[in-house]
Amino acid sequence: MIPRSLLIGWVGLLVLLGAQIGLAFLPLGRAHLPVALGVSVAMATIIAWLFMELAKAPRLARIFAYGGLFWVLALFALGGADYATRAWNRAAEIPVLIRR
Amino acid sequence: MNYLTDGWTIRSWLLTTDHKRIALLYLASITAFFFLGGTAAALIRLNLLSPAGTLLSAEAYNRMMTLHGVIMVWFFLVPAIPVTMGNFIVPLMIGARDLAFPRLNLVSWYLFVIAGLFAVYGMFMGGVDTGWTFYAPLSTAFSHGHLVAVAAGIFIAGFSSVATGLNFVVTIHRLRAPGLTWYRLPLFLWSLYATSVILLLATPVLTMTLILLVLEFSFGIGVFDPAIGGDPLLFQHLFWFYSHPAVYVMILPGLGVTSELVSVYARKPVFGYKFVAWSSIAIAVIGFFVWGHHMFVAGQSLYASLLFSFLSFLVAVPSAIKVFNWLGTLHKGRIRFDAPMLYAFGFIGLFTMGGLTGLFLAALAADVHLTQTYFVVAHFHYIMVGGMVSAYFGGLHYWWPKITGRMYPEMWARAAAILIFFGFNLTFFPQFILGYLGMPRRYHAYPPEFQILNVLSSAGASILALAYVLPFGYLAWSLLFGARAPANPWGAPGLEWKTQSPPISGNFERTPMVTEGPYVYPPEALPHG
Amino acid sequence: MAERYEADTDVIGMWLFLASEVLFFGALFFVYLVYQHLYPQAMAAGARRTDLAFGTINATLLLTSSLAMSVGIGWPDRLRQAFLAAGGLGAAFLAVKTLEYGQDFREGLFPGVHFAALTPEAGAERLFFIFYFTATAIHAAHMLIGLGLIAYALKGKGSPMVVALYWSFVDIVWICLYPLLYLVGRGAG
Repeated sequence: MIPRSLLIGWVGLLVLLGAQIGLAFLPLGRAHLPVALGVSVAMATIIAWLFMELAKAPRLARIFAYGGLFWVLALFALGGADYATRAWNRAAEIPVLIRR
Repeated sequence: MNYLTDGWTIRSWLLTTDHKRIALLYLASITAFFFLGGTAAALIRLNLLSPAGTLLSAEAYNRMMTLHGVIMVWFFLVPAIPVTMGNFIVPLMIGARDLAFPRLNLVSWYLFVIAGLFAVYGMFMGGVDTGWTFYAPLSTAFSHGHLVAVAAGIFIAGFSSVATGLNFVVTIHRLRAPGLTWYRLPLFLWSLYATSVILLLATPVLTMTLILLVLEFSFGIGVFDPAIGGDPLLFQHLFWFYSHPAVYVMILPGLGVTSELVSVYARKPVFGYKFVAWSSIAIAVIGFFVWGHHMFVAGQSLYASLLFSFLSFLVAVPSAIKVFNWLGTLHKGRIRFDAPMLYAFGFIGLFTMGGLTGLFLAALAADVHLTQTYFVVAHFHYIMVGGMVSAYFGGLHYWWPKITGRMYPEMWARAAAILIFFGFNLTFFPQFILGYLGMPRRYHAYPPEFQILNVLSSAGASILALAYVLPFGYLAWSLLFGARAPANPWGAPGLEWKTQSPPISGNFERTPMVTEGPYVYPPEALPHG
Repeated sequence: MAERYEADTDVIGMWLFLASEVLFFGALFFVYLVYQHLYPQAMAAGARRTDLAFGTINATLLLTSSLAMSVGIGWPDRLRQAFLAAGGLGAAFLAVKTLEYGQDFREGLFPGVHFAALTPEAGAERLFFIFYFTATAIHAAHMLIGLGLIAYALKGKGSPMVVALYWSFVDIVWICLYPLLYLVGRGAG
C-alpha cells in the first residue's frame, strides 16, 4: 500500500490548499499576498522534503536547493529595493498609467 | 596512439563524447565567431576614422555595433575559456577519464552551433540596431530588425551555457582523483567552478527575459510596454541581473588561467592560495548583487543606487586580492618570459587598469558624467579584450603542447604577445580620454574635435587585427610543422602534465593518486629550453 | 556501491538543474511582484476574473500526481503503475487547462485586441493577464516535457528518481503560481 507518511503529506497538502482558499476570502487587506505565498511555501516544503526526498538526498543536493532559493530571494530583495524606495524622494515620478 | 588518432571518420568527431574532441569542435566554432565579431569591430573603427562617419550610415553602424556586441559577448567571451580549455583540461586536471555527463557535453556543442546559426542568420538578414542590450521599449516597439532570430540564438546558447556549467560543477564535486582534496585543486578549477555557478544561476533569468522580450516584440503583448503601465526599467533589472554576473563569467576563467601561468613561469607556488581560491567564489557571489550600477541614470531609486554603488566597490576587493597575490608569487620567483607569461603580464596590467576604471564608474557622481561615453567602452574593453583575450591566448599557448602534441614557434608567439599589448593600448587608451571629454558611445559620427583620438584608436585597431591574425597563422603552422611536444615541456605541476602529449583517449593509463598540493616544484627537475 | 554513487550523481545533477529553474521562474515571479507593488488594485481585479474552480481542480490534480510519483519511487514493483497514474493526472491537468483557456478567450481575457477591461486601470489589468497567460503557458510547456520524460522512464531509460524530481518541481511552481493567479484579490478587503 501507499506509505503512510506520503499519504499524510498528501492530505496535509490538500488541507493547506483549502486553508489557502479560505484565507483568500477573509478581509486581510495588504496581507493577502504574503499570507497566500506563505501557505504556498509550506506546501512546497512538504513536497520537497517528503515527496522529493530532499531530507534523504545527498547533502550537496540540499545545498543546491538552498542556493537556488537564496539567489532568487536576492533578485527579489535587491530588485525590490529599487521599487520600494523610488517614491522616497521622487513622489511625482512613479510610473503614470496611461488610460486606454 | 592518442585521442586525435583514435578514429578518423567525420562520425567519430561529430558523434564523439570525448571531452577533448568536443573541446576542439568548440575551438573551431569560437575562432570563427571571434573573427566575425572582429570584422564588425574593424568596420566600426574604419567608420570612426572620419567625424562624419561616412563609411556606414547611422542605421548600418547601429546594426554593426550590435552584431559586434552580440557575437563577442555570447558567442566568444562567455564560452571561450570554459568550452575550449575547460572542456579539455578539467578532466585531466582532476584525474578523471571524462566529465560527469559526456553526452550532455556533446549536446551543449550542438546547441551552441545551432544558436550561432540563428544569430548569424538574423545578423546577415539585417540584424538589430538596438545594441547588444536590447533595451525595451526601443527593441520592442520602435526598432524593426530581426530580433526574433537573434534572440532565439542567444536563448539557445543559454541552454548550452547551463549544460556546460552543470557538467563542470558536478564533475569537480564528484570525479576528483583519490587524494585530490579541495585545497589541492589547481586555481583554474576554483575559478571554473565559480564561473559555472554563475552560468547556472544567472542564465535562466536571461532566458525568461528573452521570452518576454520576443512576446512583446512579436505579439505586442508585453510586460515592458509603458503604454499599459509597464516599466522599461524592469527590463533593465532582469537583463542586467544576468548580464552583470555574465561579465564575471567572462573574466573568471581568465583569472584562473593567469594564476596557473604566473605560478608555472615563476616556478613558485601561488602566494596565498586559499585567498586566491576563495576570491573566485567571492567574485561570483558579490557579482550577483551589483547589477543596478548599469542603471544609475535610468530612473532607478537613489537609495537602491547607493546600495548597488557600495556593493560594486566591494566586488573590486577580491579581484585586487588576486592581483596582489600574483605579485607575491612573482616576487623572488625564477621568471621565464615565454609567450604564455608575456600574455599573463599583459593580463595583469590591462585587467588592473580596466578594474580600477570600473571604480570610477561605480561612484554615483562620476558615473553621471561618464556613463554612456567612451569611458565605459574603454573600461570594459580593457577587461574583456586586454584581460580576457590575453588570458585566452596565454592559456591556449600554455596548453597547446598538451592539446596538439606540438610546440608553437616561440619567437613568433612572443612577438605576437608584445604586438597585441601595444596595439591594444593604442586602440583603447585614447577611448578613456574620449569618454572623459564627453564623446558618447554608440554614435556613428562625432564632433570634429574628437578626430585625432579616434584616428589613433583606429590605428591601434589595425595593429591589433594583425596581431590577432598572427597566432592564427603560426598555431596552424605548428600543427603540421611544430616540434613534437614532450609530456611536460614546461616542467609544470598538475595532473594534466603527467600524461602524454596529446593524451590517450582515456586520459590516464591508471587513475593518478594525489599526495601533495597543486604547486610543488621539485628543485632538480628543470624544464627544457 | 558504484551504482549508488552514480545514482547520487544523477540526483545531485537534477537538483542543480532545478536550482537554475528556480531562477527561471523566479524572474517571472519578480515581474508579478513589481506590478503587484505598482498596481495592487488591477492585479487583484485580474485575479478575481480567473476561474477558481478550474485552478483548484488543477492544483489538486498536480498534488495527487506528485504523490503518485513519489509512491513509484519508493515502491519499485509498482513503478510502472505509479508513473502511468502521474502521467495520466498530468495529462488531465493539461486538458483542464485547455478548457480553461477556451473559456478565458471567450470572456475576452486574452490581452490582445479584444481585451475586455473591467476597471479604469485597463493597462495594468492587461499586465496581469499577460503574466497569467505567459506563466501558465510556460508551466504547461514544462508539463509537456515532463510527460515526455515519464514516457522515457516507462521505456526503462534514464533515472526514474530524476524524472520524479523534475515532475514534483513543476508541481511546486504551480503551487506558487496558483495564489497569484486565482486568490490574491478574492478577499473583501
